[in-house]
Amino acid sequence: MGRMPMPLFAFLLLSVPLAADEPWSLKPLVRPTPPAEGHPVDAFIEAKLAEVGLRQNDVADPHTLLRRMTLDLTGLPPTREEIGRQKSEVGVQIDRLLASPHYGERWGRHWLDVARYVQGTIKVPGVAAIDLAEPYRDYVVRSFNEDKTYDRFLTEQLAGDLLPASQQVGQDPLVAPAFLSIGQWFEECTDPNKLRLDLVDEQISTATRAFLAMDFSCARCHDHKFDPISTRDYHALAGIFRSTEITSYFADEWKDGRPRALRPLAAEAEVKKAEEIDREIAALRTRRLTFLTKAQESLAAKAATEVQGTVLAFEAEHFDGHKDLKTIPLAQGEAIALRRAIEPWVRYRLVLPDPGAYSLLVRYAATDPAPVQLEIEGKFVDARVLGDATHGETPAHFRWGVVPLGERPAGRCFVRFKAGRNEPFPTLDRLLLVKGTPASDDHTWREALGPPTPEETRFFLSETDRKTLTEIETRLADLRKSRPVLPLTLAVRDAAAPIDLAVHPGGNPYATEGDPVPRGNPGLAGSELAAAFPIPAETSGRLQFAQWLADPRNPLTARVMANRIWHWHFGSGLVRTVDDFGKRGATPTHPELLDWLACELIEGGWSIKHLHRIILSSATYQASSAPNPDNLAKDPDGTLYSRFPARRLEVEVIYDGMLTSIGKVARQNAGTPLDTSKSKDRALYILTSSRSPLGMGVEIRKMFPLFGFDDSGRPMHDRDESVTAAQALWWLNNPLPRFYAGKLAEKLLKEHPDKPTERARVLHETLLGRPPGSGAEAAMLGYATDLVKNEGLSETEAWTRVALGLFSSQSFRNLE
Amino acid sequence: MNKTSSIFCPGQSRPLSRRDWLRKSFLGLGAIAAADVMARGGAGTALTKLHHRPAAKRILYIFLEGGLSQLDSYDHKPALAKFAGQALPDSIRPPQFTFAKQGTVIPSPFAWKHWGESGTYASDLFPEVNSRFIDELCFLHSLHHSSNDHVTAKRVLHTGVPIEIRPTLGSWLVYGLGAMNENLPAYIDITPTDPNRPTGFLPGKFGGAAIARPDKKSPKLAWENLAPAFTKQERHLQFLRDFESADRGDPQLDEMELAFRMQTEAPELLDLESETPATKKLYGIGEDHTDEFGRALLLARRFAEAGVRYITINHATPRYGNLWDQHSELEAGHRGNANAVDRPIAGLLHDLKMRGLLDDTLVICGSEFGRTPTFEFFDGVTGRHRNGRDHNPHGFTTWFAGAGVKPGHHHGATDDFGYYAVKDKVDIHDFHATLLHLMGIHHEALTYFHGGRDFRLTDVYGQVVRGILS
Repeated sequence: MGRMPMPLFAFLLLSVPLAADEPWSLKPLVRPTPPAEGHPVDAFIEAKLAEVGLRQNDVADPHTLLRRMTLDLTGLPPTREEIGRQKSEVGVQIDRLLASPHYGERWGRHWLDVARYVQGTIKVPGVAAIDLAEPYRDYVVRSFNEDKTYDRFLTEQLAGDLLPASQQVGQDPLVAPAFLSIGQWFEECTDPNKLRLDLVDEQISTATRAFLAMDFSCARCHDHKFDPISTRDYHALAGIFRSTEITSYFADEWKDGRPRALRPLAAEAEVKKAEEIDREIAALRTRRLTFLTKAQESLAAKAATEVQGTVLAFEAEHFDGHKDLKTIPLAQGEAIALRRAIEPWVRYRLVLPDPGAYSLLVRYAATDPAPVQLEIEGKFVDARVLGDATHGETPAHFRWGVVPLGERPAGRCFVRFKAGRNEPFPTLDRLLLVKGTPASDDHTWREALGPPTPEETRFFLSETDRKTLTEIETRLADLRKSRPVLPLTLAVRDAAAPIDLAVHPGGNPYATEGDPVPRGNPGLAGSELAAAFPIPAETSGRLQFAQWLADPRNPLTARVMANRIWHWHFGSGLVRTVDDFGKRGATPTHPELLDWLACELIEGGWSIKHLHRIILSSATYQASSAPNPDNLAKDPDGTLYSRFPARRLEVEVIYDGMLTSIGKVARQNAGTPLDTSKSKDRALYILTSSRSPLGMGVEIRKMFPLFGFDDSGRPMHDRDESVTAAQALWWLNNPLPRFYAGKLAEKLLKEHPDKPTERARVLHETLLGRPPGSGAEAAMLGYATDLVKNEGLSETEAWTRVALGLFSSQSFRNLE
Repeated sequence: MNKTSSIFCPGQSRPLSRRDWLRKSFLGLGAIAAADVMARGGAGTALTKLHHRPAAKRILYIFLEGGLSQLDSYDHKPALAKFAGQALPDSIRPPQFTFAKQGTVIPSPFAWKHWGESGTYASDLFPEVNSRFIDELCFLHSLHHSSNDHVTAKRVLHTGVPIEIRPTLGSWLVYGLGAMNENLPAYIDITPTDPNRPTGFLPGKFGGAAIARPDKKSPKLAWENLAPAFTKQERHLQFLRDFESADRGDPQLDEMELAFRMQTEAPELLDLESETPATKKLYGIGEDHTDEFGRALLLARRFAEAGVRYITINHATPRYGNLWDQHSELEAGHRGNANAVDRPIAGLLHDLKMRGLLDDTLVICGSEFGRTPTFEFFDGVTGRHRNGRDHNPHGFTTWFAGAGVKPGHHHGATDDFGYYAVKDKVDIHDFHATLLHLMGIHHEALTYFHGGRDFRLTDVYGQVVRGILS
């Protein structure tokens, strides 16, 4: 288009119909007619198979099918009772599994992959743990269990906080937008202007790949090379996210922090009540300070005198948010300001001239009580210190506290003050090391420290004044107690003044080109649709972006989600590149089937479970996975669906398989709401629920990436299913599978003490979902007997090895 | 799409990418089942043939984490002494955002002199390396990038990009070349601070195997899950063969068999006790300050000998890594660190040379960035230290030795204060292009299709630095 004046360029972009070579995925969605009678999915699949003269495999045997459907829909293997009842009709089983509360845990995790949710700490240096992402995880699980309509689901995640009050039902809309803030971005970036735009870019990339299977971030620096996305489209969208705040504040200096914003996760009334109390507390605090200041003025001026021979040299080690310890020489009496928000601590090195009892006098301020742990020479002292609130942190609020160190030998002495994770830490101002243990109500040493601050005046009050102060403080304490402690969740909110961004050529935060691009929806689904949801000047436009996505006229949204659902059932999508529907992505193997499914999704009211029912009831889904010379030759990679594509299971399913084999997960009944307290041991929660078996936490954490889970906090659109020698070594030698194999062996021996055959049968059925054939049974019994008779091992050890062998077998770790 | 890395499938609009191939086709599908084994051997690698005859078969990358000061080791700047205590002249503008507040110029606290026949002017920070090998080293004085914090700078050095998680140079090499020894991983990170570095869009199998730092629990350098957890594992393997044949009829135990082979080969390799006392002495093993790094480097040599392609050896603190990060106490800190690595590095070079390995091994030594000519205001609060330097990614020194590089050569230069690279500048993509070149790969030919486009280690940039090639 060359160097055309910008307004004209914009006009053309909006009005010119898409180029003739637009990607297939942007063609309007029209419902195709299945080519034959019968199940529509099978009709589309059969038509392609017929072209190469290939017959689809017969339906898998009932054991395999039950295991397949149960793992696929709930992530758990079928129980032995369910295996016993497997004669019931497939349709009934589908309904039972879709109603299982475990369904949400399995399919919610699929979505969490797209939303780049990682449990606990992200293993990437420079990216802090994203606390409080768990409410979002539970929201996703809940939404799948409720079969929340997909249009609503995506709207809540992008703009739940902006939905009109009439649509703000429950807490879901408050939690859901955490989708935008759980991304990994480099908080320690030294260039704040670049970071702001990087942060926006991360949100754009995640959202456009998730909902549109197009990565708009390619167009940050230049017009997209292959797909109809211009830098103007990008910056129209970037304006929307730039006008959205996901941090509570944003310091220019990285050391001062850029924490993610939080909000109470509670009903409006409760939040209001808490705010009411907060206001009252603030008013009382002002009254208190006024009172103390007055009292201070009435005190006779006292000249400062030196505290006799008490001040020694200090050094401090200071953990300031950067991952380095720093040793700082302090001037006499100087303390240190702490910046670190999580687990703050500060350590001082004292040099004691001779043995004896010492105390530290610490001048501090703490709005709310912030008692700190005291560690002397590496040993924690039982009682916490500096626990009294000073109700503010201005200079007027500083007060001296006494920290007794007890009897110490002469020489070096490290003293550390530490708060727990996310606990408040007082602001420290001055330090003095003194001999002896001064009483805190002794005036003499306080007087010697110079004129009192208003806060310090409290120690010099008359009887009546002290009574007044006590009254105020009692009232304050009561108020604090009555204030409800509201759980928190990650918050997203619109900026006070939305802004439009000009194009930043090359992504350079310091260069712009032309006028700001008005916030708006992308043009790739047609100009009419782009203009259909005008963004009001006072809002960011997230809601309008969500409406544009959820509009049935948008050709991408339903196609992308229908393809994802297919992908999660079959291991690969009808479009193999599930996150790329552009020209460089794969084209659909069965375009009509994809469109038919997309139309079903929309017309079924965006119900995801509706699509599950359609897919699971097809012969294509139920077909056996067995390869044979014919289907290997004509359908080598399985894209024609001549057989069910077998594949390695995800790490969560493998872990849960071992876990459930020893009866650790209580199955919750179909049709009941999920009770997460009973599920906490499952892989979905295990890294944040502190319920790992003793000593196994580290091993579980390491197991995730070993089996293809990317724990670096980027979206996982397509899990890595590779099988590696490192995994084989893990099965052989890692303590984790051995731990579960041992427990399983003990259980088997206890339940079936004298019947090895029964033991082998139960083991095989529990792990692999079917009774063993005679050869497999013989191999298991032969191995166990050999180990006991010839190697002199105990029965428990022998069966532990048999169980370990079955864990590492293909039938256990694969979905077939 | 890189044709050499695809397997075309009839009847499908888009050829199956190598990623699909490796990720999806591990099951009972005849030939494809051996994908992982093939990825190690020649047949399954991304490149069917090398672009040119490689100078190097393997790379040993000695990484001094935290930022070795070029101004106190190999990049001598007389102006530092002349301007000591003064602000930088206007001609040298510090960047808009620095890691910390900048003070005035401080001189190098180390003694400088001419070393070797080449007369290379260097400080006395690495006396053993300098006195014995300075004429064999090839110095790159003009490497630069723009990430001035450790985390992103390290990522830039290893992957070419600061923020996004991309495959490391090592992963690219393994993806492109496969392994020389199929019983061992082809890429090993010794004592990394960032173990299990993610492989980005490349499948996890191209990642580095981490050899953890010895600690109280496991005093030896070792990798995970290698030590047999129970006896009679041959019998266990036999059970697996019997069971799988009976249960499914198609035992697929390639990975398991490979694991068994690794178990036999690797422990021998990891056992440094089989080395002679003379060799151990060479690396400074047994002496307090050099023992740990000496062991790491000796292990690296054993891996190199056994056919590992790419080995990083990280000199770092156990927890946070940035051992060479002397924001204060530059002299004491750098001296102590150098004492720990000087003898082992000289020992490694000597050992490689004696064994003829230096002919086809490239040794690299450097940091994620260098340091500033000015002191750093140590802390916004006190600002009292004036004896340390801040991070400086704008021009720093890395040296090479061995295969394919000019010995005794100096390439590029920084300005008078050693702040910015000014002559023959080498950016990170040039650096990577050169390393791939030395391994026989044209950097534009090693591609991986992901997210709708072909990715390269060097993105859309990169010029081989011909000036350093022998």
